[in-house]
Amino acid sequence: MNQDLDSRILNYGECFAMKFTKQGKAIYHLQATTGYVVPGTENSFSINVRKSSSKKGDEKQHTVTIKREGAKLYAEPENLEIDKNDVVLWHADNPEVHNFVISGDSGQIQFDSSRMEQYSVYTHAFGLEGEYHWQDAYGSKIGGVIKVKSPRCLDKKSQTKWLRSLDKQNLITISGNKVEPAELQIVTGQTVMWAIEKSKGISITDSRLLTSKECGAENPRKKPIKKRKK
Amino acid sequence: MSDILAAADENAATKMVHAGQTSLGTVSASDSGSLGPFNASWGASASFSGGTVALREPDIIRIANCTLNYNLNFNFSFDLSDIIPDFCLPRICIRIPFIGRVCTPRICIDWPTVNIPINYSDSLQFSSDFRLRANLVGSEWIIDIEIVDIPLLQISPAAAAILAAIGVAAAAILVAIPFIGPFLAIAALGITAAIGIAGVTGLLGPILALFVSGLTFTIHKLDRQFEILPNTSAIDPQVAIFVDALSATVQSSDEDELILEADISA
Amino acid sequence: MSLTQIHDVFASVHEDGLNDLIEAFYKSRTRNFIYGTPDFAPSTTATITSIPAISFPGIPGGIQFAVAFRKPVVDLHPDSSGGSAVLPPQAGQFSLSANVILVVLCGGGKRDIDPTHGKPTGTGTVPKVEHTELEIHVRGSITSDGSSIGFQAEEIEIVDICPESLESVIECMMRMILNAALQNIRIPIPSLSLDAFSLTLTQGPTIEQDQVKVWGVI
Repeated sequence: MNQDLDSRILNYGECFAMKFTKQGKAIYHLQATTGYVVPGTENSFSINVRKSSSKKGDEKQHTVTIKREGAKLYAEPENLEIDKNDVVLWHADNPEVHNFVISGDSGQIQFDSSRMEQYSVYTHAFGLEGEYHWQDAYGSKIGGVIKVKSPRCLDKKSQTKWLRSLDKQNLITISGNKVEPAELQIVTGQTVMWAIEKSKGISITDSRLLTSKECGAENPRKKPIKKRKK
Repeated sequence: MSDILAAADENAATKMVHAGQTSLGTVSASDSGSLGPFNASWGASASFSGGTVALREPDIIRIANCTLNYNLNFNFSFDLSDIIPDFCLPRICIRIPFIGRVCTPRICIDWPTVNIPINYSDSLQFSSDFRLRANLVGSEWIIDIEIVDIPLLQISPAAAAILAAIGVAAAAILVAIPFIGPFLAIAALGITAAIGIAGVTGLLGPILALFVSGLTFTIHKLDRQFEILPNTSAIDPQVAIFVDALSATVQSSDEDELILEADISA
Repeated sequence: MSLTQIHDVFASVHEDGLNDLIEAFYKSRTRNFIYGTPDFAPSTTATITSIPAISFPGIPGGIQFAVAFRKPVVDLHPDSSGGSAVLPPQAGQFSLSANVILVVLCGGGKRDIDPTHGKPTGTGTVPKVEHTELEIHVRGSITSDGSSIGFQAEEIEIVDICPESLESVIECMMRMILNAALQNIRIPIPSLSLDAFSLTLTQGPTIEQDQVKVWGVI
């Protein structure tokens, strides 16, 4: 199970979610790497965002499971019908599915899990103890630290106590260059959720995975994604 | 009366035996065996040295405190799910102000199959009787001593050390498995408890017994056509005699001696 | 009483084994027992050692001769002959019996034989090989240089030569020749244990009980 903290390439135990705020049909692809899709080489899937809008507080979440068949990735369900302001969450349902990127275009906006802009969520379940300094691989100033401790469970009681702690809500919100909180302390097995309200397209990446050359060099989209006019 | 008679006292016999141990060198073996509930594939090598020699009529050389130096490497695999329970990370739901309620799915952790390699070196001492033999094998006379019985090998300390080494190795390998942290101590303990001293003894005992069973040290080898003087030139060829019969025994008088007797012919 | 006594190792060869060793020498390096001047041995081979002729004025090429010992037989003390030995071995001694063949090429120089009529050509007499075989009896002791054992003849007896003075002359010559030949018959001490152990000599070699015995440390 790949435990690298890097939202640019997703693995089992991680999720990407996005709130669709504009009506329209979004076509998206599943890739094993970042970068542009060569037309005709990957399966495409759709999300039809209906005109009717979910009221604030009633937004629904739709879950898409990513599976692998041979070398190809595919989404289940392939086509989704959602209301405006609903959330779609993508995840893999078994460790055999690894290295996936979700990228698509709704005609009004482009979205890409490897470079999150707005109304996006990235989740990561931490399996190994340590101190994780994370930053944006595309060079923005945002960053923070997650301190993960592993409790030593020598008996059933301590084990149960630890299992109960796994549903703790750990949320980091990002708006522009503002990160709240910058530091988080959790235990092994807990999940951290990064929610991006708005940004120029960022990643959540462990600093140890980055060399000085890598910042911004990996994704061919060097310029921020522009919203298409209607 | 034999044509040639040679005798060595216990002091000399000790040196001859030690030389025989050295000439045996390192012997190796490999196979697989049970390590408690697990199956382990192993490779081992052994060499022998030292010990004090006593001679006993009619043909026994008793070696006391012979050192068996051995190296054992083995590895075993198991499904970690057999040691610690699989578990699932629960659904996490968070209400995000600018997005709404987002819930992660349940993530179940299926423990992997783990392979643990162990390398261990140690030595132990044993005492045993060896029987003196002289045999013509092809065109060569071989004087050797062969162990009479498999001696009792004290392997308990080694078994305990190996079990501890398994625990340390297991912990080092397990620590890299995601989500193992809280279970690490239990997992390492579970592995060693599953194997136990009995499991290690069950593996180690037969391996070492393999090296000791039929243990033979060659004391001396000589060609049946025995060279007295070498060929030095065309006018001074080799001078050799034939060893027609050879025996090796132990005789006691006022001291115990290793006796070699040979009949020769030109 | 142990064989090794106060030493680490002991090795011995019985007189039967010693005779086998001497026979091995005799078979392989016969040249140590047979010597001949150039007319008999133009060069040394494994079977004969070439020695110079005796130079004498008026004899072209010198006196050509050969000396050949038949395979000697050794007896170690005590006497195994049942009293018939000419020179029985005394304590610490060996006795040796051998036949020696003395050969002389008589005549002054060689003459060619004409192959057409088979008669000699030129002047001078046709050389003739004259020989006699003598029975020699020797008594002596074992020597050692630390790494090998050898034989030293000390007394010699040749039976039935007259007058006595001639017997003395020939006995002296034979003793000298035999000792010279025996210098080449050396048995490495490790052979006495068939190389089973290295033996650094601390006592011996000693002749007793029909054996040559040595003691040493390993």
